Amino acid sequence: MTLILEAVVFGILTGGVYALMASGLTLIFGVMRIINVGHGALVILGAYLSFALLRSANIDPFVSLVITMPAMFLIGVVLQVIFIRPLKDDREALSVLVTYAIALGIEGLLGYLFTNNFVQLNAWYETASFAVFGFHIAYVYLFGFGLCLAVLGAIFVLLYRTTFGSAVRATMLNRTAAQLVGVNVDRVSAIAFGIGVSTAAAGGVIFGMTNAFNPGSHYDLISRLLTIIVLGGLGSLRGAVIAAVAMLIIEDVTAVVISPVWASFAFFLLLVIVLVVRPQGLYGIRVRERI
Amino acid sequence: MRKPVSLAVTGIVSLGALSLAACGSSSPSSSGSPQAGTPITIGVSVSLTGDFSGDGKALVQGYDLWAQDENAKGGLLGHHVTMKYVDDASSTTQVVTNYQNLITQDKVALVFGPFSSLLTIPASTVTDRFGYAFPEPAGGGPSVFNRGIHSLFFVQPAPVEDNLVSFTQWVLSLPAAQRPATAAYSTEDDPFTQPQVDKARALLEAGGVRTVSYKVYPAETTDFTPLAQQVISANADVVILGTQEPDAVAFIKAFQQQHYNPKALVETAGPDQGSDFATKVGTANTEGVMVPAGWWSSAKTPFNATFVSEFIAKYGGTPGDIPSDAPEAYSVGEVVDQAAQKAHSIANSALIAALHSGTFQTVQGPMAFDSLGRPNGASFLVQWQNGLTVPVYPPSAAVAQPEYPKPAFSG
Amino acid sequence: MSSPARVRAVKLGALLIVAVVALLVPVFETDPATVNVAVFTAMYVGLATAWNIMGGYTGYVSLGHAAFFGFGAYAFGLVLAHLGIQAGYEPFLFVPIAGALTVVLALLIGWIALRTRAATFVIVTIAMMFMIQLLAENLVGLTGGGSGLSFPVPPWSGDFFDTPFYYAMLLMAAISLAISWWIRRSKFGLGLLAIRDDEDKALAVGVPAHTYKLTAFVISAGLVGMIGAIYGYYVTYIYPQYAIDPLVGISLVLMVFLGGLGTLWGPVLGAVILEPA
Repeated sequence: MTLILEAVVFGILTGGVYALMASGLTLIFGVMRIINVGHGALVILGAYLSFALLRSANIDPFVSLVITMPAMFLIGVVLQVIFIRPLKDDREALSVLVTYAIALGIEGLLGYLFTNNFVQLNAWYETASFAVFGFHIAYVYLFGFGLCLAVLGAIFVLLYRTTFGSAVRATMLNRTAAQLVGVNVDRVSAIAFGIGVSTAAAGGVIFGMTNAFNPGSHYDLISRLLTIIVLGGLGSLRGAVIAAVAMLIIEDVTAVVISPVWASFAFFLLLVIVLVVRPQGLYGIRVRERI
Repeated sequence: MRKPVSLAVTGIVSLGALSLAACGSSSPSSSGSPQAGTPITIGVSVSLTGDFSGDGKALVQGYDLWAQDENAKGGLLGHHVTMKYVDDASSTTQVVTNYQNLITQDKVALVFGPFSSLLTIPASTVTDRFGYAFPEPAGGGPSVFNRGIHSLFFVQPAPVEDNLVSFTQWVLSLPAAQRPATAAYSTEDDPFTQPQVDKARALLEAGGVRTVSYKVYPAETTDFTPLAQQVISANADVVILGTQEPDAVAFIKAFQQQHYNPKALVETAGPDQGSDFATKVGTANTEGVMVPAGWWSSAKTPFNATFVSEFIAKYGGTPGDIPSDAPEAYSVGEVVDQAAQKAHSIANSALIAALHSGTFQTVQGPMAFDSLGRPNGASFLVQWQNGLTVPVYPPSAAVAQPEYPKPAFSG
Repeated sequence: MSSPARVRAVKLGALLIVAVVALLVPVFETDPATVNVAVFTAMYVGLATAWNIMGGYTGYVSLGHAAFFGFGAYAFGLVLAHLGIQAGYEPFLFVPIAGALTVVLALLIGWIALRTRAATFVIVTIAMMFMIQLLAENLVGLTGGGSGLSFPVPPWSGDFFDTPFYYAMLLMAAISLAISWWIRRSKFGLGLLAIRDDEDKALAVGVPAHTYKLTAFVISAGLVGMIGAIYGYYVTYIYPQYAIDPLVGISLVLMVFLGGLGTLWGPVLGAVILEPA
C-alpha cells in the first residue's frame, strides 16, 4: 500500500514536470497550428545548456535557468522566424517534417559537442532526501515541482491578465479574425514560440536532474508529450496540465502494481480509451476546419 | 536505438555508384588466400554515432593498437595490416549493408565484429554467407549462438549468460550463518543484461536463496527512482541488478537517497567503467560494489602489462580509464594472429577451422571455442575496494578477500 | 496521330523502359552491394506509394506506418516459425498472410484513429506506433522481446542472396503502383480526393467518408505490412526498435512530400531520390 501511495506522490511530482514541458508544446500548437516535433530536442538542449554551465562554471542547475531561459527564448524566436513562419500550406504536415529536421539537427549538434554518453545534472539536493508517509523523497523532486508551479503560474498570468495574453488567446481562437482586429499575428507567434521553448529549458533542467539523458533522449520524450497534449485536447493549457499529471500517476502505479515494462503502455492505452469516448480530448473542441 | 540521417546521403551516393559501376564487377573470393607479403585490409563496422558510439570508439582504439603492434612485428603472417572502419550508427539495417560492402566492394581480407549482440546477430549471417570468419569482441548473448552459425567466435572468456556465475558461487560458498537468505533482482529488458540475471536467479534459488523481488524494466527507462523504490521495499540481503552504465549509477544514487544498504550489491555493467563510474557515484560510494569482469588492468595474463602501458602511451589516461571494450577488441586480433600461425594461412576457411580447435592466449586470459563459437571459460567477480576494482573470486584469480557485508553508502 | 494519343504512347513507352530496366538490374549488376541498394530502393518505392494511398489521396498524414511495417515483419516471422516453413523460396508464398494480419490490425487502429482529424490524427498515429513497438518488446513469449526474432536463413550464396529479395520488393512496388493507379481513376479515389479538399462538404454530398478513409487506410497498411514481411526475411533478424522505427515512418512522408503528394509517380520519384538505406 505504501508503494502505491508513493507511486501516486511521485506521479504528481514528476507529472508537474511533464505538465510544464507539455504546456509549451500545446501553446505553440494553439497559436500556430503546428506540431513542434522538435520540442523534446529543445528540452534536451535546455538540459545540456545547464549541464555545460554546471560543468564549466559550477553554476547550480536551478540558478542557471536565469541564463538559459532567456537564451532559449531567443533561440525559439529565431527558429520560428526562420523555419516556421515561411510555412503556408499544409502547415500541420510540413511543420512535422521541418521541426523533425530541427530535432535531428539539435541531436547531431549535441552528440558532436557532448558525445552520446548518458549524463545527469548533479546537485546536493539530488541525493539528500526527507521522510514522509514512511518513504523518502529527494528534495530535487520538491524543488522541481515548485519551479513547475511557478512557471505555469507565470504563463497563466501572462495569458489571462495581460494585453499580450489577450492577443495570444485571440490568435488561438481564430487567426484570421485576430489579424482583422489588429493583432500582429506574426509577432505574437514568434513570442509564443519563444515562450514555449523557454519553458522547455525549465522542464529540461528538472528532467535532467531526475533522469539520465543523452542527445537521443528526445524521442521518448516527444512521444509522451504529444500523447499528453492530445489527451488534454490540442491547444488547451489546462488540459495539458491535467493530462500530464493523470498520465504520470497511471504510469507509476502500473509500474508498481503490474510491471515497469507495461507502464508506458498504460500511458498510451489511456489515450486510446479517451479517444474512443471523447475524440477531441479532455478539454479540446471539435476540429471543424478543413485539414 | 536511434538511426542517422546520414543514411539518406549514403543512399544517394550509393545510387550514383550503381549507375557508374554498372559494368562487370567481379565477385570476391573469400576462400583464396592473398599472396604472401601483400598488404591486407581488415574491415569492421563500428558504431561511431548513435547509442553505442562510446563503446564503438573504444573498440576502434583496441583494434588500432593491435594493428600497430602486429605491423611492428612484421604483420599478420607477413601481411601488413590496415584497418578499415565504417560507421553503422548503431543500426541493425546499416550493419548488414556495411559488412556486405566491406566484403564485396572493398574486398577486405578479413572482418572483425561490431559492438553488442544486437548488431552482431544480423552481421554474422552476412559474413557467414560469404564464408568469412567472424571473430567478434562484444556479441555474447544467448541469441547470438542459437542461430547455428559456425563461423562466429565470441572473443571473451565466457558467454554473457554466465557472467554472474562466479558471483553466485561466491554467495553460496559463504558459511551458512553469513549466507544471505533473500535476494532482490531488477534488470533491464536487454539481451545483454537479462540472461545474466535470470541465470543468477536460477542458481541462487537452487542454492536456497529466496527471491523476494524480481522486476524487468524497459531499456528506455531514464527515471530509475520508482524502480529502486521497489528493490528497497523488498529489503533483501543481496541485490542483483541487470544494468548498463546509466542505470548502474542511478540505482546507487537512489539507494543513497533512501538510506538503503544491502549486504551485497552486484551490477552486470557500470561499475566496470573505472574512474568514469567512480566520478559519477562518488568514490566513497563505490566501496564494496561488485561487477563481473573478464578483464581488469592489473590482470596477470600474457602481454597484459605491455597492452596497458602501450594503451596509455597511445591514448593517455590511467589504467583505470581503459574501457573493457579495448582489450576485448585487442584480443580479437590476438586470437586471429594465433589461428593464422597455426593454419599457416589467413584464408577464412583455414582460420575458421583453426579457431575451432585449441586454446588461444589473450590479454583476457586463455580461451577456446565450441562449434558455435561460444567461449568455454568463466568470468571473474570484481569488487571496488579503496577506490579500485580488484578481483575477489574465484580464489585462483583473487588478489583480495571479498568485502562482506558491503559498508554503508556515505550518504 | 492525335496529340493525346501520342502523349499516351510516350507515357506507355517510358513506363515500359522503366520496367525493363528495373527487371534487368540484377542481371547486369551482379555486385551484391549494389543489388542491396536496389532492394532498399524498390522497398521504399513500394512503401511510399502505399503510404500515399492514405496520406496523399485523403490528406490524413500518418506518421505511424512504421507500426504496420514492423508488425508485418513480426507476423511473417511468427507465421514461418509456427508453420515450420523451411528457408528458401517457399516463405515468399506466405507474405500475403502477413498482409492479411496487418489488415486486421489496421482495421482496429484505423477505427480508433480515424475518429480524429488533422493534427490529432497525426499524433494518434505516432502513439499507436509506440504502442505496437511496446507490444513487440513486452510480449516476450511471442516475439522474443528484447532478444529479437530470428527468421530462417535462406541457403543462398552471398553473390546471389539479394536477387530474390529484389524481385520480391519490385513485385510489391508494382502491385502498390497498380492499386494506386486504379484508385486514382475510380469513383472511390474521387471520394478520397473530395475528403482531402473538404471533408465536411464531401460528407454533405454523400461521400461515405468514414468507410472510404478506413478502406484507404487498411489498403495502405496491408501493402506496407507485406513489404515489412519481405524486409524481415531479408535482414533475417528483427528487433522492436529497428523493425518499428519512427524514422522509417518519417522517411516515407518526406519522400512523398518531395516527389508530390497525392500523385501517382511522386512517391516513386521521392523514394528513388531519397532512398535512405
